[in-house]
Amino acid sequence: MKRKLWQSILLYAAVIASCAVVLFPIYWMIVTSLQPPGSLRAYPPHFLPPDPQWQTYVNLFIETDILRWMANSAFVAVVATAISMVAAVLAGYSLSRYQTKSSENVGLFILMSKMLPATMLIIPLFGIMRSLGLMGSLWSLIFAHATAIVPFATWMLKGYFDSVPNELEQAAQVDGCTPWGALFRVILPVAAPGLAATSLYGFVLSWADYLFARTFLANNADSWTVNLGIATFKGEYQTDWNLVMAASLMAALPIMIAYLFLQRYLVGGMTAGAGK
Amino acid sequence: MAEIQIQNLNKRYGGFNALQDMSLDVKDGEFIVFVGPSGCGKSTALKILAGLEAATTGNIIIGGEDVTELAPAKRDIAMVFQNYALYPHLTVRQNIGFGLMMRGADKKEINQRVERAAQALEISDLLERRPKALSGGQRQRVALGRAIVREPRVFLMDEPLSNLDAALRVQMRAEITALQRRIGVTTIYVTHDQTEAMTMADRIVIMRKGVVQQIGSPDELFNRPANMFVAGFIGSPAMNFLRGEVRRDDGGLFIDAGGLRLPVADAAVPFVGKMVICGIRPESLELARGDGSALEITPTLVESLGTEAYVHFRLPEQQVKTAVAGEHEHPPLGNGTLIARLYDVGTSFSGGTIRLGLKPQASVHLFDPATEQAIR
Amino acid sequence: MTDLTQPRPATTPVRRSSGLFGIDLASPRHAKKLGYLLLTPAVLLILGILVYPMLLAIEISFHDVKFASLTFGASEYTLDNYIKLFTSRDFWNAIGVSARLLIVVTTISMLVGLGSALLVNQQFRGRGVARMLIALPWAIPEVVAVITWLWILDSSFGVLNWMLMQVGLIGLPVSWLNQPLPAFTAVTMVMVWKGFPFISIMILAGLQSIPEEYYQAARVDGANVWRRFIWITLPCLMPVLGVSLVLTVLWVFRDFSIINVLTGGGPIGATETLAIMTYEEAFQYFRMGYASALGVVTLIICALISAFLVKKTSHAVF
Repeated sequence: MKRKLWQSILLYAAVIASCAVVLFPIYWMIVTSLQPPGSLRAYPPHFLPPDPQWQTYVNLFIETDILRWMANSAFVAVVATAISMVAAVLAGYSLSRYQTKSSENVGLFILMSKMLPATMLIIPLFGIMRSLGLMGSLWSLIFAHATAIVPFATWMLKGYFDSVPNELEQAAQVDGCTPWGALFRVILPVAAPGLAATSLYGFVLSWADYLFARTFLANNADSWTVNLGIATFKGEYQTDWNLVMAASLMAALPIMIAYLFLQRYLVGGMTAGAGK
Repeated sequence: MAEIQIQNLNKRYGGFNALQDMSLDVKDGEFIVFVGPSGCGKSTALKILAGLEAATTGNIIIGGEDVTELAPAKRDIAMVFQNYALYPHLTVRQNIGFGLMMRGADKKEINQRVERAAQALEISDLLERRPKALSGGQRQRVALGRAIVREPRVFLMDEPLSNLDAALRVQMRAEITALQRRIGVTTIYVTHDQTEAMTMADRIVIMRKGVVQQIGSPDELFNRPANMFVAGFIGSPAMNFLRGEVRRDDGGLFIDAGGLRLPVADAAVPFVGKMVICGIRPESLELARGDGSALEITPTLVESLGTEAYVHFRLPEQQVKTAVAGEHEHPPLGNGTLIARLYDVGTSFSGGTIRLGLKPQASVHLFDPATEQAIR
Repeated sequence: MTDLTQPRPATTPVRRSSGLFGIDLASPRHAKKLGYLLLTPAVLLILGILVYPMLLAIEISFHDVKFASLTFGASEYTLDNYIKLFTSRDFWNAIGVSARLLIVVTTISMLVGLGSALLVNQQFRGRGVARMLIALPWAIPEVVAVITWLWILDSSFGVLNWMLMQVGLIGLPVSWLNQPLPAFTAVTMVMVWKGFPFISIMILAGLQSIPEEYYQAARVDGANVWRRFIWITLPCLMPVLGVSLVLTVLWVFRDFSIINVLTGGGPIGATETLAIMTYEEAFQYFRMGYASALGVVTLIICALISAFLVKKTSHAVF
C-alpha cells in the first residue's frame, strides 16, 4: 500500500514523539547525573549539560558502596538464573515431550503460581529464612528468586521445545545417545535462542527485585543489592540528585545492556507458550 | 547375522489398539515394506522396532538377541526419518559421523568412513555445509549417509520419500533399492504408497487399523490377495468389485456378473446359488470380441493417456462400494465408478455403449461378501 | 562398491550399563519414569518456596502472633485477625485504593500498549530500533524508575512541573507527593510507564501473527481502515489482549516496590494498596498474624480476578 507523503510524515512524527516521551525519564536520568551540583536547581532546567561532570561517577564509585551492591545483584541474578534454568529446562522438556496429556493441567498450575502474591509469601518466608540462618545472606535471595523464575521460564521453554521436532532427539537416540545425551547434545544447541531469551527473563526478574531484598537483607549492609542500596539514597542523599541519578544509571545499565543484546529473542519467547 | 523376529506385538493406548498381535520373521538381508493407510499401525511398529516406543506386549528379537527392553542406542540399528531429522547445528560431515562419534571411534576412522559413505551417495562436495543450505534431495542423501556409515544390523526407514517431489521420488526409489542390494543390510521400510511397496520390497506386510492383512511377495499380493482390502489397495487403478451369483450349468461353474460370464474354480462350489463379490482388475478387461458374453456399458468418462485409456463406467446393481484407501482411508464413495484399462483403442468413443470382456488369461478374484476374505 | 561392507572395524561396542538402581531409564519401557524424574527439581523448588510458605501463611493468619511461627497448630486458632480485618477502616480504604489504581492503570496501559504496538507495527525505516526503544522501560528495575521519577516529580526543581507550567496546564508547581490526588496520579504515571511495554510487546507479537490474507480479503470487500481494525485486528487480538489484561491486573494489584519507594503508601493512605498495607502490618508493626490474614485475602482476590478474567477470555489462555 503506497503511503501518501503526509501520512509518512505523520507516522514518523508519531514514532519519534512516542519514543521521545517514553525515553525521556531515561534521558533525564543521564543528563542529571552529569550536571554540576549547582545547576541542578537551575530555572529553567538545563536540558543539555553545559559542562558534563564525569567526576560524579568517580565520586560515586569511591564514596558509596555501589560497586559492591552491583556485584551482589549480579551474583544473585547469575546464580538464581542458573539454578532456575536447570530446573526449568528439565521441566519444560518433560512437559514438551512426556506429559502431553497433563500439560494443560500443568499450565494451569503455572498460571496459579504466577498469581501468588509476594506480599503474602514474604511473611512465612521471613520466618523460614530466619530459622535456616539465611537472613542477611545472599542465598536467601537466590533461592527465592530461582523459585520465582521457574514457573514462567518453564512455560517459555516448553514453548521453545515444542517447536523442535521430536524426530531430532529420536535420531540422536538411534545414533547412540541416551535421552538426556540427546537433550544436551542436540536439543539444547538447537533451542539456544529460547535459552537465551529465558535466561534474560530470569536475569531481569532477579535484578529488579526489591521486596525480597529489603526483607531478607535489610540488616546486613554488606549484602545489599543495588536496588536496596539506591532506595536508601532517597532518604540520606536527598540533595545530591546528580549522584543519585548516577547511581540509578549504574543500577539500570547492566539490565539495559542485556536487554538490548537479547531482546530480539524475547518476543518469540514470551509468545512461545501463548505468552505467559 | 541380522534376522528379525517380531513376536505377537501389541500396542494399546488406553482403549485404542494401535497394533494387534503382529508377528513376522525377517531373514537376513531382506527388504521388508510395511504398507497401509495412515493409522494402520505401520509407523507404530517401526518405532517399537527402533526402541522409541515400548510395546504393550510382545517381543522383538534382532540377530538372536531379545532387544524388547533395550534403549534405541543399544540396538545397533539405523533409522531414516520422513523429515530427515538432520542436526541443524552440525555440518553434513558431523551429521554423518555423529553416530560413530557417540560410539567412541577415533577421528581418523570417522573421517575415512564418512568420506566413503559420502562418495557412495555422491554428496562429497557437501560435507562442510549445514543442513539448511541443502535441497530436499540432498538432505535425503545425508540422512541415508548417516544411516549407512555405522554399518548397523538393521535399517529402518519411515516414509523417507514422502517429502520429495514426484520425479525425485522415482529416482530415489531406485537408488535406495540398489543401495540396499549392494550393502545387504536387513531393511524395514514404511510407506503408504503401494507403488513404492511393490517396486522395492522382497516381501510386503500390508496393514490396516493395527491388524496385519497379508504378508507376501509383491507377486503374491498382486495375484493372490487374501482379502478385499489387499485386493483394492494394491494396484492402480484399483480393482473393480462386482456382485455376482455363482451358478452351475453344462459348461461348469460360472458367475453371471451383469451379463458377463466368468469361469470360476472349484473353490467356489460351496457358494453355488449365493452371491459373491468378484474382483476384476481394470487391465483384465478388453473390448469384447465376437458375440460371447460381455458387459454392455455406457462410458461416463474416458481418460486418455496416449497409448492407453481409462474408461469409467457404472453398473449400479452390480458394483460394490468399497473404502478408498491411499494415504488415508476414505469412506466408500457414493458415485464411484468402475474402470477398464484399454490399450490401443485409437479413436475416442462417441458415447454409445461398448462391450467389455475378460482377457483370456486374466484371473478373477472371488470374495465372500460376509467376511471380505478371498475364496480359495 | 563392496567396500561398504568390509568386516566391521574395531570400534568399541555400544556401552551397556545397568542404569539407575538397575533401571535403564533410556529404555522405552521406562520413558514415563524419566519424564517424571525430569520434573523433580522444578517441583521441589516450587513446593519448598511457593506451596509450603503459602500453607504456612494461611496457618499463621488464624493465630494471634507477632512473629511468623513455622509450626502448625502451635497456639490456639482464632478468627480474630479476619474479624479485625473486615471491620477495619484501613482495610476498606486499601481495597478502594487498590481497585481504583487497578482500573485506571490497566485501562491506560492497555490503551497505550495497543497504540504503541499498532504504531511500531507499521512499515518504516528504523522500525526495529523503534520497537526496541519503546519497550525499554520494561527492562529498567522498578526502584530505578521510581527514583528517577522522584527527581522528575520534585515539587521545587522537578522538570515535570516546569514543563507543565510552560505549557500552561498548571499555574503553580504541584506538590506531587504531599497531596492525595497528585500522589495517586504520580503512582499511576510511573506504573503506566513501567507497565505498558510488556503489553506492547505481547500485542505486537499478536499483530504479527494475523495473516495478511485477512486484510487483503477485507480490502477487496471494501472495508476501510477503521472497519478492518474493528472486524479483523481486534478479534484476532482477543487472546493476547486477554492474557495481557490478566497479567497486568495481577501485577498492579500485587505491586510493592513502586508504591513503597515512591509514596510509602501516603499521604494519609491515599496510595496505600492492600499489598502496601500487608507489608506494613508485618514488618513495621510486627503484627504478622494480622498481616497474614491480609495476605490470604490478597490471595483470594487474586484467584478470583484470575478466574474471572480467564473465563472471559478462556479460549485464549492456553
